[in-house]
Amino acid sequence: MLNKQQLNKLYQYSYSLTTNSDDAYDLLQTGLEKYLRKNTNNITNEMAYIRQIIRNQFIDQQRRKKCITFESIEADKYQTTLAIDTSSLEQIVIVEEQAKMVWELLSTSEREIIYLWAIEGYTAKQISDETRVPRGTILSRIHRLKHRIGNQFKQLKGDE
Amino acid sequence: MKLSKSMQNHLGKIELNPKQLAQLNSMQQELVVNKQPANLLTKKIALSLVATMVLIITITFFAMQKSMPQEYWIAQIADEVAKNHLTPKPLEVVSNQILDVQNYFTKLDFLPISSQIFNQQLSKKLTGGRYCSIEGSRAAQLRFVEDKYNHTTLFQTNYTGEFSDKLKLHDNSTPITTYARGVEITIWQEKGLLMVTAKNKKQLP
Repeated sequence: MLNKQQLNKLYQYSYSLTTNSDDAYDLLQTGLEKYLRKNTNNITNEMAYIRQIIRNQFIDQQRRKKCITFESIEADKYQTTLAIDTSSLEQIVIVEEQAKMVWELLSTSEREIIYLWAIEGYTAKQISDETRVPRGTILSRIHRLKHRIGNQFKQLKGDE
Repeated sequence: MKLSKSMQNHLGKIELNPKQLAQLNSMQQELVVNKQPANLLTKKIALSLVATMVLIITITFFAMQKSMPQEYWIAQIADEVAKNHLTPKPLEVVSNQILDVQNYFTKLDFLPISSQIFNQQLSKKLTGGRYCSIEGSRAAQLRFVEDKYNHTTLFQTNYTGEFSDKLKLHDNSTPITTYARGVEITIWQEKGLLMVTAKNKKQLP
């Protein structure tokens, strides 16, 4: 059985995908139920496995709604040689109050990367393995993410 | 503050409320606790059903076999020996002396005999023998020739046990003659052995 901390982590992951607490709870509940009903004797990484179920469930829901907010993998295929990694995200310094603003700026796939990097402490390779998205694509997303956040703060400073 | 730390703080504030936690725990309790016994129970029931089915099929099969009339078994034996007679395999012992042939069959639970009933028939010459089986029981196959065109195969196996349940043949009673695959088959019981001959009578045009 999952404990409170694990459930909260999965809730945060669901929230990263949905950005809505009610939807996140529904997603978590459905994903957890699917996991519990499966034969999971040979699962080595329980949390990663449940995140995968939640992720697939979320993509299915988006497809049904015909509003896929996940960025196309194809869109990133020519940007796979950028010499960056998750460490480049560490260079960004923001004040705590700006975190919510940054969060709202991000797309679904970017929020997922931020969650796996900031909460789970994953590297680009580990994010790539879990999300089954090529590492180059993850790197290009990080690159765009870094620029987007940087530009937003420049703009904010300009407004001030 | 570094981005990772500020995101940890931001997402850290997102937590399940006590009601949601209670619901999820209750769901886990219900599904995890009930899952294993349910699976085990299902497996046990399925296994029991399969075992029962196999048992029923086996019992039915043997019951049906036991209830088959003697004619059925005679036809079965006749067909099997006729087939063996028409497609002879190489002899394992070649001799025209019954003693030599008897000495060869050491792996049988009976001793092949020189049949008095068979010897009363036309003069034949023993050529040899080999191991074979009738209805899955080990048997001895002895081959005889009358002339260039006619030959006879004599099969001998233990009558007691399996065959005594299927056939009601009395010792030295009149042999039963039938035909299978165009071959004349004669069946009788002699000295505790089931004797079957397969004889092809080729007629010159």
